[in-house]
Amino acid sequence: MKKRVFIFMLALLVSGLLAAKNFNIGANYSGYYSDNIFMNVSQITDYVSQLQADIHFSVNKFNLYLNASTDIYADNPDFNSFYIEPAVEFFFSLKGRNAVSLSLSYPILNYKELFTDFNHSGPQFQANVKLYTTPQTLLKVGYLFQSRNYSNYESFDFRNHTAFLEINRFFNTQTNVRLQAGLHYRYYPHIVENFDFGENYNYYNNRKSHGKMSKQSQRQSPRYKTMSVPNVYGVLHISQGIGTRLGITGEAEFRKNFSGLDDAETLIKNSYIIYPYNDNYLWDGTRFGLSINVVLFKEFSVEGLISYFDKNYPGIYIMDADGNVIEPVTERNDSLLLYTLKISKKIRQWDLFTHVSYRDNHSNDDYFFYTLLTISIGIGYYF
Amino acid sequence: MKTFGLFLSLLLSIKVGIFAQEPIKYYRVDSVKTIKGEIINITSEKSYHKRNFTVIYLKEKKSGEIYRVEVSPEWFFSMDLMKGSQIEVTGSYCLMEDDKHLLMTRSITFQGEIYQFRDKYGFPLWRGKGKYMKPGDKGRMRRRGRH
Repeated sequence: MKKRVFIFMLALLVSGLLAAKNFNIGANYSGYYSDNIFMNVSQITDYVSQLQADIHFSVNKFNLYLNASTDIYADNPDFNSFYIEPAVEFFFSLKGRNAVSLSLSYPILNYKELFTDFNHSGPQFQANVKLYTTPQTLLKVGYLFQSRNYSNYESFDFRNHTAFLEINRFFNTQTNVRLQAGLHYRYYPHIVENFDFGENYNYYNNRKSHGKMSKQSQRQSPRYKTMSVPNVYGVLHISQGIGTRLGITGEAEFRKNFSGLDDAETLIKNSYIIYPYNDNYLWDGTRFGLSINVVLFKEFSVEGLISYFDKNYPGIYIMDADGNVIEPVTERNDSLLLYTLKISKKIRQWDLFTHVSYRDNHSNDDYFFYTLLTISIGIGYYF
Repeated sequence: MKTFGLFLSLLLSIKVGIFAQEPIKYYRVDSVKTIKGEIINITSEKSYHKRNFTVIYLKEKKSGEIYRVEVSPEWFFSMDLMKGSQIEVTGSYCLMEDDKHLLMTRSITFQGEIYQFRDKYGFPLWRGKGKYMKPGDKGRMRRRGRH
């Protein structure tokens, strides 16, 4: 019933957009080669094609859009996925350049057979306020709520809250100094306590053919517990313009977790496969970044970025190849060097870009001692 | 008949009045030029069907002339530009009746990044084009949180 209502609402939104006079469609293709798609010691290579379409419509202070995309893996089709996100945004001008913006969306991600435990959906809400206290000082306050429901594996369900305060000051020397402080709070409402581990669903243990988790095993052990991971952070961002076509940016970030994922084995062991993509709330430590942006002849844009991360994972302990915690118990610690080069160019309605990135991740957990090279190309057309 | 003539002239005077308030401006591809300069003020002004538009007052580096740079509806403008910023604006230029310089923005270059507001033909990107084309994304496709 719930699904039917959702499909009906989606159909209503799409038909509404198509009936409107000034709606637009964008479509693009991007493909990337990765020599380590799971970001771990497995070093599984693949070529991923991403097709994306976007319908957009704006009326008065509201923007409505529908974004759909699919990821197609050449050699690992089990990881293919389909993503759809309907959303509405609202922008309200206050006095001067001050403004309030709100957005509400409902992203849905579905994987194919083997990874359906990671299928998720849920609402996202974002609110931001911009206040110019002087012509060269900007104050921002923001809040983000994200709820994810994993219908096939409810232990993964979580709620994220992020709140931040940012002060941005511009100096006539073309220097911009930005200081942001915030709080991340992730809450897991029902983690299964006594999960029955077995060979066929342990992602950590099974590196090549990642097995599917047994729903049966969840039903056998219906004891749940809740868990929260609060995290405070601060970011210092300094950018310097040299003329208009060259910019240098330095950034430092510090994070502190007040608690980790202690005693959440069902979550840790089986969600390792997605943690590299989704560990934003789970690590504390430091990050340093240095980037250079240049606009060259014929409007070619080039961006070079080097980042260094020193990450601790509170509550996540290093394990052996079979997924057993190694004694004495030691928390996972990673140091990551990330190099990225991006080149982009617009030619009439076409948008072309290429990215090359290289990750060198050192970890005290052998499973996460890896390198990763990604080369991507993309082309977009806007109607 | 006399009443009708009076009504018609009144209607015409209202229409002329409306046009006098806000002259129609067109983006012309044959008048595109690039101006480098320093921002002396950024405001939000009612323009184009009474929508809030971000307007930059730019002092050209070479000549010292002041340009009124019309950028985009306020909701589309996500750059944190402030007074004193040195920028490069490419757009359609016209000299207004009161001898003021006007530039309708196609792109702004700031600290090594290009922010697009119109395509090469002057079509505004805020009239659709998808969320991932917002300034700030610099035209790159956004890979959303998928995992």
